[in-house]
Amino acid sequence: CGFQLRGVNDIAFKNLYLQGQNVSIARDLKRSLLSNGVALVPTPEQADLMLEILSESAEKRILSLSGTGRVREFELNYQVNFRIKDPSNELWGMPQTISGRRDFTFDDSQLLAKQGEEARLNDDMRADAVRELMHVLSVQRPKPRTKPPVE
Amino acid sequence: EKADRDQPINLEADSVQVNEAKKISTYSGNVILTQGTLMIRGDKLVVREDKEGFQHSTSTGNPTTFRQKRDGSNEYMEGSALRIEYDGRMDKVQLFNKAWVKRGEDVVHGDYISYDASSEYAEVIGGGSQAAGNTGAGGGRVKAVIQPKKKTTDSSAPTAAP
Amino acid sequence: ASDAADETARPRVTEASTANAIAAGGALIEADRMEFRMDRRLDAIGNAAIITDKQQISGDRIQYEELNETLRVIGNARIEGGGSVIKGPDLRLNMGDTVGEMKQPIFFYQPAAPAAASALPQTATSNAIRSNSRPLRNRLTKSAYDDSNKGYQPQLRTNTTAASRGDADAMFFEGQNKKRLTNARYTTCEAGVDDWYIRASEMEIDDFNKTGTARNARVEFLGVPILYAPKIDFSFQNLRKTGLLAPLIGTTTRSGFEVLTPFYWNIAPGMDATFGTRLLSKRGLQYQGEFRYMGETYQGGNNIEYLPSDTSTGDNRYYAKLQHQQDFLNGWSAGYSLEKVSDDNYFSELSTRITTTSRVNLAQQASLNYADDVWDFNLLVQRYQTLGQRTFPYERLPQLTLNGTKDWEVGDRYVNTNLYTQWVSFNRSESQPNFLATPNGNLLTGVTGRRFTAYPSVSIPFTRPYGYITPKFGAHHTSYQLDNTDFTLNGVNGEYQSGTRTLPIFSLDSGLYYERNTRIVKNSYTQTLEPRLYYVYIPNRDQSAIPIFDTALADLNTSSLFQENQFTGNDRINNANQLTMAVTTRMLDARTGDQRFAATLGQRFNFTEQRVGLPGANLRRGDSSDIVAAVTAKLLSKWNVDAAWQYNTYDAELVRSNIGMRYNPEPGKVMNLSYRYTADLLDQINVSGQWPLSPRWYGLGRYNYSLEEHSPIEGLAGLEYDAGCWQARTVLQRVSTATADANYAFFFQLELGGLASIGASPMRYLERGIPGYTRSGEIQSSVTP
Repeated sequence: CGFQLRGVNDIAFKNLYLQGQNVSIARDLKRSLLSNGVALVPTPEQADLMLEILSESAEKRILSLSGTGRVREFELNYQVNFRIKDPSNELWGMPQTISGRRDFTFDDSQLLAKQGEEARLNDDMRADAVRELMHVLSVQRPKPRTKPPVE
Repeated sequence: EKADRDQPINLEADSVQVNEAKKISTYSGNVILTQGTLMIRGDKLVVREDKEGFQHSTSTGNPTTFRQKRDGSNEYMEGSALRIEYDGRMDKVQLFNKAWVKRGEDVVHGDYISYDASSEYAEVIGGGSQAAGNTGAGGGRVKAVIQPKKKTTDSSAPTAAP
Repeated sequence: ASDAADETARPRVTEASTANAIAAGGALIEADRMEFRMDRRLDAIGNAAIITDKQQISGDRIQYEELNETLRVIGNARIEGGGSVIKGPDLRLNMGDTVGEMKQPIFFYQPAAPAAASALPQTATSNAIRSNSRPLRNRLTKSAYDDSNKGYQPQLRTNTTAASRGDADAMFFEGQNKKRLTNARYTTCEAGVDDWYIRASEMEIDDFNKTGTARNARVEFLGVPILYAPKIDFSFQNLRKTGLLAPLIGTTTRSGFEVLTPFYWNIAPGMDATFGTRLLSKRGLQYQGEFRYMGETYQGGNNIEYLPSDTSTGDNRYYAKLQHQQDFLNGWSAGYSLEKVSDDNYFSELSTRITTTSRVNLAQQASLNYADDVWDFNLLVQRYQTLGQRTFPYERLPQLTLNGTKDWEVGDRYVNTNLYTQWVSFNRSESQPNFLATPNGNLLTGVTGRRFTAYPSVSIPFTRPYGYITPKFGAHHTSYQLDNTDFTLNGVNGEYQSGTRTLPIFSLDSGLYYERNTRIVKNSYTQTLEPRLYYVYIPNRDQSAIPIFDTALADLNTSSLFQENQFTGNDRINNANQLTMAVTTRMLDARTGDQRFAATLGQRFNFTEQRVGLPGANLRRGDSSDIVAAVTAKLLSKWNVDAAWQYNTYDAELVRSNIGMRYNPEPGKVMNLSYRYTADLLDQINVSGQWPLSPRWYGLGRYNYSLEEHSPIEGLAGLEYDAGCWQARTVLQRVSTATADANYAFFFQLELGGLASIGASPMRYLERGIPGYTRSGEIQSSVTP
């Protein structure tokens, strides 16, 4: 039905300039870039592609209540907004958003355990976000820069 | 300056025609009239002497300019227009079309400017209302630029040479 | 042509020379006709104008006395500058010290449009502090969930783009940016719409701070005076302004009619406080105070509520929350969050916010953290105040967690090593025995103790573009030193034993990536098919002598399906010889890479019996786990879908079935439908939405019905009217609370151009109750072309 194994490793650039690094996924993203053979360069001029993480937001909301008003389910949301710039054109791309959602049942009598579960789900959601962000990067086809990179 | 009126008039020009009967003399070509601190330049200058012996001059040029020191201050008045009429008896200068007058740093720009040196009263018309002469540039508006008022402290200080 | 031009450059009135004259503080005067009396008076006649860098003054005639710098404008006087336009019959003004007067002024103020509002969707963090103006920006990422009783939320907020206008008998210019108006009116309604006014005998306007103060002011709404205040402060441009705020009015069945009159004190740029007295008809006068501060590397918030001698219960009731976070910038950070309430029913009787009435455990904790590229360290000291419960969470006095992850380059491959270590001392006060209801009877114990855990592991990923295989080897070691170790489980006595537990853990994760390009309608997508196999082997160890401090069985979902240990916490390590098979398909936008659709189907096959369980819990029967499926979609048609199912193959029954859909085509139009079922836990439907009923009216609603308990859990119905420069919303809400019967609450809120809002603020409920809700005042401005 038309599916074939994914072909060559399709990250089409070698040097990335990452801006906006005080976000929770920065460490995992750097590790993932490294293991996909992408080097982080200190200045935009040396970069084949620029990624700016604009903002991130995490939220925990009550999803369901019991008849007596007790929390039965919590919902976790995570969202990271970023944009990409191809060095050959002046403008940054449109901001893109990756969002994740998890929910888990809650019981006040197992508070500490549920805190552990929440932490695990938050980590899992961020790992997903890094995977999606890596995929977005793999789709980019940066054109070689018009000006030779400043040595 | 008032003292100018008693000063001799000195005139230079490429050529001059004098009509003794009507007491009119017409100077043309690089005309420069100086009388004390007053100096008028232009392409053509017509001087007429009235019965009481006062000189009335009309200079034209592209532009014709005048310059005169003001009474009791080391500030100069300058002006320029396509035609300048000077009434010796009233000590009044009238500038027509694309006229501007500069006093110290302030400059005013209009289609018709009249300046009465004795009463130090000036009037500027933008040509919007009763335009004297044809409508000047600037769509009939009078524009005056007033420089920031120097703080009194520093204006008394001797101004350094420009 | 004559070359009579003399040497001195003829000063032409060019734009350039005029511009820098004005910039230097000079002025350009224009008119049809001008008369000068040298050094005495200038008379500009015929739509005259005087333009300086600060402002432009124009009128039929302008007379300017240069000696004393006074300006008189006769006829159609108009001052324009700094975003404001003031018009009147005439004007007298001293240009030097900006002192003057204008009779019968009319003024308009249009704040400069703020920098283009970033187009990023704003999701407010659940516990963002919303004050009456720009929230203190919260730079430190919030880790722990600490939604708590927000206390009072001042609601005086100016819509930054709202223009404002007004008139007065006279306007007195009193200095550079100071104006005083007598008998003034002020509104943010556009010209011609006179729906509401602040009318004041005297009004001072400060152009520099963009604020105003109205004395013995009356707010007139549709001609009816609705609020009198000796002094009202307002700000033109959403800046925090000290002063009396509009009171909040509401009623609840539990506390009766309530009026809260707040005072906001803008102490300093990074610091503010709000004090309020809240009169509750059934309880008396409650004092509320909130003090917040924020700096480059720290921020904190403190809320205090005190109700002396509650007329219904007779005792003093209080609530306190003290919170601080500090970032030392060198990787270290620290913080504390202390919360305490006077009695168990405090929230349900004195608050109507679900986020507070549902709270049972109030954390009292302090933490110290360190993070760098490899190490994560956390020192936590934590205990809880538990309201109305028989189960009390263990106190962790302290807990130290150290986690290190490092990738090593070995040849052309990466090897990942991870070390997780934790030492924690679990305590409990005698008055709080640990009572745990288990499926087969109750567990009662007073056990406390110290636990050390070390779990080093190595994983070696073999990755190719088309797939990966990642073996992982680890050893999980835990040791316990326990005190008062006896327990009774379902009437049977037993005893926990100190000791150690060491288990080898082996897992093998592998997956393949298949892709193909497809087109749907006119968009091209990459569809992926990702089969994944995940094997885990953990030998069995009898752990019945190990107490439960922080462990429970995690929900089975697509995340936990790929976890080694189905138990959270460290007290139970499940025995495992299992293979998880799953397949995920995704639809990814070919151009932008955005994920539009993802679906996962997975099942775990167990080759051994489950022998490790929680005390009194039923062990899994049969060899196969439940089938788990999940779908998430963000369709271009503005539909978002999130669904998850869990089917138990052994009992052939559906254990969990959650379907949630949201349709949000544009701000102000949102529908949420969801059905949530978890076996013997909840079975609910939930409908909520905000929809425009007509160009000005919006309907709001939420209905949360429990099929299991055959009763509504939460109901909310509301109407919102947006008249452009004012909005009114009314909400009726039924809330069932933890410690008492249902609490009905009615809210009415009138928001005048975002300037002053009167009435209890249902905002908090609406944003929680109706996900995607947008205040009607913000709908126009956010529907940008």
